[in-house]
Amino acid sequence: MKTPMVWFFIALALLSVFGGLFFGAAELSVEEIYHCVTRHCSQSVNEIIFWQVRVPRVAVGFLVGAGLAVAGATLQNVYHNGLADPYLFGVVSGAGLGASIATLLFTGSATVESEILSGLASIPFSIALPLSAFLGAFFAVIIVQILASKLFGNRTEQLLLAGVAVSFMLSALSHFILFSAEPFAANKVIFWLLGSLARAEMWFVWIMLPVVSISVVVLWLFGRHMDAMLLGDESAKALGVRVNLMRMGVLIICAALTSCIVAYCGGIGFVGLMIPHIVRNWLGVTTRILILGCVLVGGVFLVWIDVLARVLVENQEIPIGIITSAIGSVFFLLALNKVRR
Amino acid sequence: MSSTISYPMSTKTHTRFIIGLIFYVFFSSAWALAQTPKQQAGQLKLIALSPHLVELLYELGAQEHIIATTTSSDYPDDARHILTVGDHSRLQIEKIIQLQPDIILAWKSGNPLDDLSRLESYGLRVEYFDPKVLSDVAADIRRLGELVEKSPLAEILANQFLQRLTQITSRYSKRQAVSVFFEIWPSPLQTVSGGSWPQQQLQACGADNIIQNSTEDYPSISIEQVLTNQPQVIIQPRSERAPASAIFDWTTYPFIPAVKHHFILHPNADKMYRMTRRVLDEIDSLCQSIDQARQFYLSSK
Amino acid sequence: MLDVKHAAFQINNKHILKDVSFNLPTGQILGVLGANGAGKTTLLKMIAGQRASKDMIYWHGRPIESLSHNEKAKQIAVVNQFNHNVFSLDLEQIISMGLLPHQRLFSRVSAQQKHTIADALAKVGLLAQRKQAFHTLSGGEQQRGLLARALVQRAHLIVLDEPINHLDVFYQHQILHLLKQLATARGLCVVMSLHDVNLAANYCDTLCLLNEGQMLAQGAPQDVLTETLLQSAFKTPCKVFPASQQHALRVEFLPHSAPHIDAQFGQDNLI
Repeated sequence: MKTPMVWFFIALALLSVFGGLFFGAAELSVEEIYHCVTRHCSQSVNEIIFWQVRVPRVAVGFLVGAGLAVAGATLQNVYHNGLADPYLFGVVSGAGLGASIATLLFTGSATVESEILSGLASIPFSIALPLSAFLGAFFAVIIVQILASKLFGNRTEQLLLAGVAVSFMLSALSHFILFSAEPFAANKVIFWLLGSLARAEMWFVWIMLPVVSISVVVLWLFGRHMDAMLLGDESAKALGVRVNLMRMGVLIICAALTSCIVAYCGGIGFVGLMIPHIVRNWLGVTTRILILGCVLVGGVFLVWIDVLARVLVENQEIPIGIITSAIGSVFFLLALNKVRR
Repeated sequence: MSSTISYPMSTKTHTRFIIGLIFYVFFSSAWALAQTPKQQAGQLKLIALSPHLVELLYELGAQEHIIATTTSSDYPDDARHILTVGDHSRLQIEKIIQLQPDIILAWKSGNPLDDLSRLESYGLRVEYFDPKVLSDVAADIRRLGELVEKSPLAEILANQFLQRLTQITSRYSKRQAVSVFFEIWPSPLQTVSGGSWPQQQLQACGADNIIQNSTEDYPSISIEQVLTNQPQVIIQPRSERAPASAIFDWTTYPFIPAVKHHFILHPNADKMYRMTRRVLDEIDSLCQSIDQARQFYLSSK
Repeated sequence: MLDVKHAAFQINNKHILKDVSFNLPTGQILGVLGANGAGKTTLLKMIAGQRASKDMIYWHGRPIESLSHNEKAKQIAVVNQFNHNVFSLDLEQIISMGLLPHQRLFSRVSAQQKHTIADALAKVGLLAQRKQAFHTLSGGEQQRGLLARALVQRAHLIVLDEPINHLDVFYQHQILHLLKQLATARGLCVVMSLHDVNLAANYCDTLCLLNEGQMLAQGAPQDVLTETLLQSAFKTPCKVFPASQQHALRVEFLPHSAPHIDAQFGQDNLI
């Protein structure tokens, strides 16, 4: 473990969360933010802007980055495959299907009227959307897992391929649903899938905080077991690791974690692939240090990427998923090029 | 492959990237802060979140109340200079709260509803507009008139709108039907139907849409359906901003009556699709063009 | 005390192993011999608890499958060859995995455990390479590293699948000598499969010769390594020189005669 590096990243994380508070569509002066943090903002409007919009957004940014990076890292370790990522297990397309169904049922977008549909439309869309996206995402991961274990004997490559196949299947379903709904529905779902932290509110912080921290602590505790799995299943079994149980447990935790994130923030791709690779380079490959590093680096990364999303184009917001995917894909090409050489 | 992707980028490259990123963020936000919205004290402050609401406010002479809008507001030209607070996908919550509008005028079908309900939860007043039929424009004018306390003017404008609409409808809608094909999107080929906004305009002109579909407003169709139905007029609305290639080239099918007799119409899409008074100008000229075709086909029988 | 009672294993009604029985007192080394496909690896995996073995394998009188995962890991260490090495762990990280059965979720690595690791590294002669990435070590060094992990695991039964395969002569003898020493000093049971019958004769207390899944012979080296038995197990003519004052029992395999190969493999396979 490279201890000085860890302290450096802890300091960087604190600085980033604090620094992220200074950027946003509304202008809040440095003194005003100082007042807001220490006592009260000078205007009650700023109180809302700072505490109900900006603070939750930065907090959610950090938690989402940390959660996605940790999920990616642990899945890569238990499947001993550097390309494993919850997104490859159909999480996003599952969430997309859930979101499409929610958009159809809860906003009156359905072209066929019925009593049940109008009853469902009375449930607030802001609750229905993340809830059904969560169910969709979770459903997708479970289907992929069942398919991989029943049909393909649980080999990692087959699992990833099953994930891709299920992703396409679910995308086709959601495209069909959007096709048969009104044209504005497609718009809503597509923009939702591009990912954004703009919806972040304080109640979501209070959901994400326990979800992320409990997952991280549990995964961290079983870090040594996951290390043993890096050398293959037989080797891990000989060290007393219940490999299948571990893998199932890790998958369920990671599925729940990413489903929560995707359900609320949409598709924010490549974080779970990119951050663990960087952390392995900088801090180390054993699972415990990797998880700690991913929390810090992933959180810092997403806080700053979200700052970019807020200020890159004036008077508009760029969906954050576009930025992470753009950076992530370039990063990946560089990584592959490095491998070739 | 995966066994070796452990060392993707040198530490140096990472550091340079992160420093560059931080630098850029500071730079661009300083620039953003320099752009200050102008504030008028003591009068009603409105944020109008759709081009048609902005346009109607201008017609009511209430433009000085508008403190912000969305990126697509472009008419009249002055509207392009209004501060923008988001687009059709996302509103800038922080900025809207800071502007402290008295009323937010929202377009239910075209604005992100989650952002709007969040603004409502902060105690902001949101008024929803959702014009579906042509006469809704008059109703929206009346509602806006009440909100900006210009009801008398609004009443006059609304009545003018309805009168002119009735005039056009009564002049053309009962005449001999002309079969038309309305192309709203070339690839995939999409048309209008059901209760869609352009379909109402076709009805007002006494045109008979070759595609009848009661459940879908904007159905996708195949070219064969157009070819077999032999439309007498083809309507391809064009936007000033869009390139000419953004429409389907029907001249390769000269056996279609509309192509043979050159009745391919290109109304102004920006006016046609906007729920303001300008739509009537466009309907009027559309009806006239269709009527020319009608006279031609009647005389050539 | 390891007891194997009528061990059998089959896949798709094909017998991989049939009615193999023996027992191994503590402090002794058992060598499993046999041609490729004779069932050596399957037998080792059953003993290690990695293959189903209902009431066939007993460790100190308890059926092996009645042990919990963690108990099993405390009792039995396995030295297998593996090829999963995705993210380059260093040697010390791999060796310290041996502590896993003795660690609680929250416990830290104690000074004594650190000493155990250093001790194991010294025993296999890899103290200098402790921080080196595992995949950059030579095959022999990797093999010794895995043996060190088994030592850190403090198991009482060590199962090794061809432990000296990649080693040069020096380390072949060094490792086998180390195993012999550990078996006597700590009272360990060692079970390993070997290809080299001479080394087996030198270091094993007892041997077990498998042929096509069946036990051909079992017992002391001089009883098992006879010309008749070896010829029927390896399908190769051989000469056995009995142990004398100067050297242990020695086996020399002789070149095949051409008709013998043809009869065994058929003409097609030679092309």
